[in-house]
Amino acid sequence: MDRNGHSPAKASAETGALAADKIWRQDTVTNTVQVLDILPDDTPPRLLTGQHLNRNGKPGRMFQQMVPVPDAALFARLTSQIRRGDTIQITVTTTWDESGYSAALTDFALLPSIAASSAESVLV
Amino acid sequence: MARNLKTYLSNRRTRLPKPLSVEDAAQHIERLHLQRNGATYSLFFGDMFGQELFAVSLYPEPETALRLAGENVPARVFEVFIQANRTLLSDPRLCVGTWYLEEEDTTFLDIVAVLPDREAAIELGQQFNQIAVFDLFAGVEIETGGTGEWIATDIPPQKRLPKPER
Repeated sequence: MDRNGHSPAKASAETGALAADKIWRQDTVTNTVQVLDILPDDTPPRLLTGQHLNRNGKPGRMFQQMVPVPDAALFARLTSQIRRGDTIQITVTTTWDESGYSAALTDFALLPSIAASSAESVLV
Repeated sequence: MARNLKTYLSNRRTRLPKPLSVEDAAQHIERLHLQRNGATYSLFFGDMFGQELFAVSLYPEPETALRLAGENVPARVFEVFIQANRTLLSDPRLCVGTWYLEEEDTTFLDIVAVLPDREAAIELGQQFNQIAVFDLFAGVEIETGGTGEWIATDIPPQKRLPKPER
């Protein structure tokens, strides 16, 4: 699902390679998250995600991130396929340049159980 | 001069120490993050590890919550993040939080509110519809009954914490 060719649940950081564009770092990560909210009225629209962090098998705190979705087609696909409370995989790219940093949703995938239930609802 | 956040908030006669420089704080966070796979770090009190505090996540915006690739995060990243959130971090109850999740090879970076009072943290979590707050000392979550849906749309980040009662 990762457009950069990484398998799910993997991450990559490119540092310095894009210096000509004054981008000094780019993080692309894929994580499994719970959809806490979808905010279509924001500009760009945003997806509020929650993820329980753990360490050594022990549950930790919940990390929340509001991820901008500037790609209108991606957001349309997102809203047609997922609902609040769903657990999905998201790929987020964060770009660091001279002016600071910005993050954007670059892809998402339904987990197999949700994909199956979506397919069933299409068949009905 | 207050030695820690709890002392500062409970004693009106104490003063905040001078904040650390952004560069020093960033380098310290880089080291702590690698040593412990995570850190909760105050610009005033430094490393908050092991303190009896309750963490509430109130700042999920793209400026204040980021996912980074891998465990090794250079100080420059923390430096830029702190600079971007300098105004928020001037509140001693707000810290830089990092957490490395090995299964996904991802570092999570955000601004987290830490409060010494359990009930105040739960109340704040409920006010912002949070699912849970986190007991940093015991390492356990305390459910607050919220759904996580975003309700703070009209509340700017710098107004989400109540004024400190000292």
